[in-house]
Amino acid sequence: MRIADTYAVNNHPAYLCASNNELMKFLFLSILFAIGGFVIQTFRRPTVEELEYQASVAWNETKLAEAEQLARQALGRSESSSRAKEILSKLAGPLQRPEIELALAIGNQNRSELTEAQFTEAGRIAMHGSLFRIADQLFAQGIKKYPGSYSLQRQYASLPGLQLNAEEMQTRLIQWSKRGTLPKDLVVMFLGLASLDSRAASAAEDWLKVSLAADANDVESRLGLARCFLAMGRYQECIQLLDTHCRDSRVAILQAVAHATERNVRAASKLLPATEPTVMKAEFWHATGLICVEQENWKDAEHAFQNAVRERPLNKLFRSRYCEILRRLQKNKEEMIQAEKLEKVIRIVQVSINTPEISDRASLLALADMCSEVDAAEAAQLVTAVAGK
Amino acid sequence: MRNRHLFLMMICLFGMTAFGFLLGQFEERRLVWDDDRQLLEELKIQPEPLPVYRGAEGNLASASGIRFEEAVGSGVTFAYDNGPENQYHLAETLGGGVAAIDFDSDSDFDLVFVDGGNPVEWPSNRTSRVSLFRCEKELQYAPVKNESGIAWTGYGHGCSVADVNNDGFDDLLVTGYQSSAFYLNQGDGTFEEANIVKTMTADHWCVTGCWSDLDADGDLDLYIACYADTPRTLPTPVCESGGVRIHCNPHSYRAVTDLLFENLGNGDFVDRSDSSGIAAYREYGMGVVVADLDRNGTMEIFVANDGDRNLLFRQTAPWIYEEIALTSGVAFNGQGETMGSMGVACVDFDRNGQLDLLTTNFSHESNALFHQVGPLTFVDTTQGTEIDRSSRLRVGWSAIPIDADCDQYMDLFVANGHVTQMPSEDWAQRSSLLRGGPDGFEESRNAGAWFETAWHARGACRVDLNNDGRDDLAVSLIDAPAALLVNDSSLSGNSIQLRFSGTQSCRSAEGAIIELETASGTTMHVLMRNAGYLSSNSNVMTVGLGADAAASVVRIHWPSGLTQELRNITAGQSVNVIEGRTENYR
Repeated sequence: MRIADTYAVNNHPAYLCASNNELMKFLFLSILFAIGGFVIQTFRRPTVEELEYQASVAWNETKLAEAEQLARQALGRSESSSRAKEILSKLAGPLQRPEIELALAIGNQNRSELTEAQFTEAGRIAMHGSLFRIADQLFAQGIKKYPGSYSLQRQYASLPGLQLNAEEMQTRLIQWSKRGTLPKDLVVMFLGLASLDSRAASAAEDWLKVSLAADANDVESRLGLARCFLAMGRYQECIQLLDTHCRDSRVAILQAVAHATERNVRAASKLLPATEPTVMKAEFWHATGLICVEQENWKDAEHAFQNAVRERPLNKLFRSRYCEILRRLQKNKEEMIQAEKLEKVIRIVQVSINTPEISDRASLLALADMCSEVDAAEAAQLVTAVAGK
Repeated sequence: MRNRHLFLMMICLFGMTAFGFLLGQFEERRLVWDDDRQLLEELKIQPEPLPVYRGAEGNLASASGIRFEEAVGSGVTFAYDNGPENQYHLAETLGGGVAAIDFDSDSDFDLVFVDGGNPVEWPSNRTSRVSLFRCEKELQYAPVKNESGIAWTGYGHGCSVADVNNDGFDDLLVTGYQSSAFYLNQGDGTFEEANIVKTMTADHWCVTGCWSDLDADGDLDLYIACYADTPRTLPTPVCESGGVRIHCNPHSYRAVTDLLFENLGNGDFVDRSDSSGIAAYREYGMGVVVADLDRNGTMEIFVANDGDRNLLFRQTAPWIYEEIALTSGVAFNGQGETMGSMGVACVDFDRNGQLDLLTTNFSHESNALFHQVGPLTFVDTTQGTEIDRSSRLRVGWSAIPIDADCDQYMDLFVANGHVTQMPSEDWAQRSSLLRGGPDGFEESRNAGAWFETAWHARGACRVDLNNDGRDDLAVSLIDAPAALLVNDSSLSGNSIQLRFSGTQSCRSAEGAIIELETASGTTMHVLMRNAGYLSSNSNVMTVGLGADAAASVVRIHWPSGLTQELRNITAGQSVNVIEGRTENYR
């Protein structure tokens, strides 16, 4: 047959009519098969119990990804599947996915509907899983709803401690002291944190790294790790860590401290604000002081370190720097006073590390007195609050 | 044709069935519970890898020019034995010292090492814990056995060499755990024990002894840094770190007071510890230096303490001392932290004409360089420098200032090694060699093969082992043969060597300050036999001249107060200077 003949046959009216009928039948059959396929697929799906069982088997065989998928499927079918939740909860650790455990604690509830226990537990899980921003948010929301909750207050106040943020921890403790009784251990922890040394900082490095690895946008953890590096003398790492596009002014100030400590005056000066900022004032004055020292501008250095000490009276580093400048300026009388205060600060830190030394009310009051003597009025107030009446 | 249609239909039907299956699958996926992911999205949480920390290794500067090669086959086989494994006695952590001593007066420096053993068991048949090696010829040593007359069997740490009785021969003080001894050199290559020190030190744990003429009466007095009150019984307290048993830090024990003895010049000593005010301080003493830091004619005593504030004693009246470390700026480091200080060095690092102090410290603290910026006014300038970077992760012991390349800038050797096997830190550690220059220090990358290996190094001393006019090093190691490190620095400058004999001052002239003027500037040096941690340097002072051909003036400030000048000492000379005499022996 020639090509032209074929064309003629295909366009014949009888052929077209028969072809339409067949097409309809074909379409109908196709839809039928598709539905059939869907129904078969739906009916051949394993039950929730089967999924739970398969997930358990996969968990036992340490096929973690498979176990997670199966447990999630089971939970997707039935939100009350406790077995699936249990498996997922177990998986959170090895998979390094704290959000799984967290989601299990919160479920699909609205945050405002969470109970005090749920807030505490979810926050604890987030904190334990190094998701500090979520933890902080949960504690803050929880305290708003349950202002009298001791456990929420405690966790909320301790969180900045994990991020080596003494300033914020003090603020939270003071807020709490207005509403309830402070726990001694947290106040003592704050006293130690106010003067972070290299050994204490090295202990925090691991968890801050984990936190930042889990949540790169967590500025507080980033600043915490930067403080950690600074205390350990790892200035280049600090600079590198803070070398982000983050617009938080605290990042720039802390980076300026690292540059100034490395005697890079130009880089430090570029980063520092022209006037005293509203945050990280102590660090601002510390960096300014270091720059002045490099420029042998002892007078301004004295002013800067004096301000740093005023802002953070329990910080050994700032006090030590202030003493050095006074020595250079041969202000012997003032240096003697400041050196004695430095020694007291060191003693306060030693006592706060060696907690058995502050076992009774008298020792707490003595500690509060020492804080007063070094012009740390707020710390003294906190310790007095712990000592009680 | 019809068959073809049928075939196409079959394919389509199969496709639709598959589509149905996939739809079922999609429904299955849609059901997956993903609240946790929503939680992360809410806060834009993204994981981010952090840069890996490479520690000090990553910051090594490429300083070149100074290097030391280990002498092979020298015959020095001594290895410090710190005790049996898994005993965790605190004494095992300190190690031992080494001293350069010309005990047979043949003008070659011999070497003496102090050994440990088992700190809790001292059997009666125990061999001598003092190993003496006589220099036979250049870099060849032979052990001296019983004929030396030294048969001390305690648990030793330090060896302090000085001519205590001004007879021209080097005497030897051995300090140790609950036992110390003092040996007077008889001048014939033998020693005789003088029981006076043994009686005075009793069962103190003596670490570093430092001889110096504290009352300027022409004989050497003795300061001994003492450590802790630790019972010689088992079990000792054992601590834990990361699930691993480790030695406890000294704070698990009571600190003890240091000892101060006045030499009466007739073989007798008087204990001045209490009356001088020294005994009012109870710290964990390790390294000591005694020098006239403020150049006012009296000696100050600086004590490096382990885990406590350092002490600086200033004399206010004969044999009365005032402690001024806090207001002088050397009690704590620049961060206001107490340090686990071990050794100490005293030299004018920054060439400002004032002696500085350097302490070697525990890991995570960095060594601390205190520059003297005014009389007894010190500033810790370590933060952010190469000294900081090179020492942060190491535990430092002996610090030996040495002008290895004779360029007039002091270089620095630091013996390193951890006290115990902590899970997170290296036990054996590489020692450091830093090259000094006008802009501070740089750690040498090409220091020599010995520096590439990690050791448990402790005591070290400076001595010209091969008489080439440049200082070399001897290092005592725990559980490994001691190292003799021969100066192999390239681009070496000129140098002169000076020996001093006091006449009004003590014969060894310990503490004399020497100012050297050359065409390119002035340098200041202090004659200090005591090497800061358990060890003693040679009494020959090697002074670098750099490119200058001569020292136009060598000005000696003797401990007696006399100032003496030598002129035009050309490079390459070795000069014997006698106090008050115009002629010198070259």
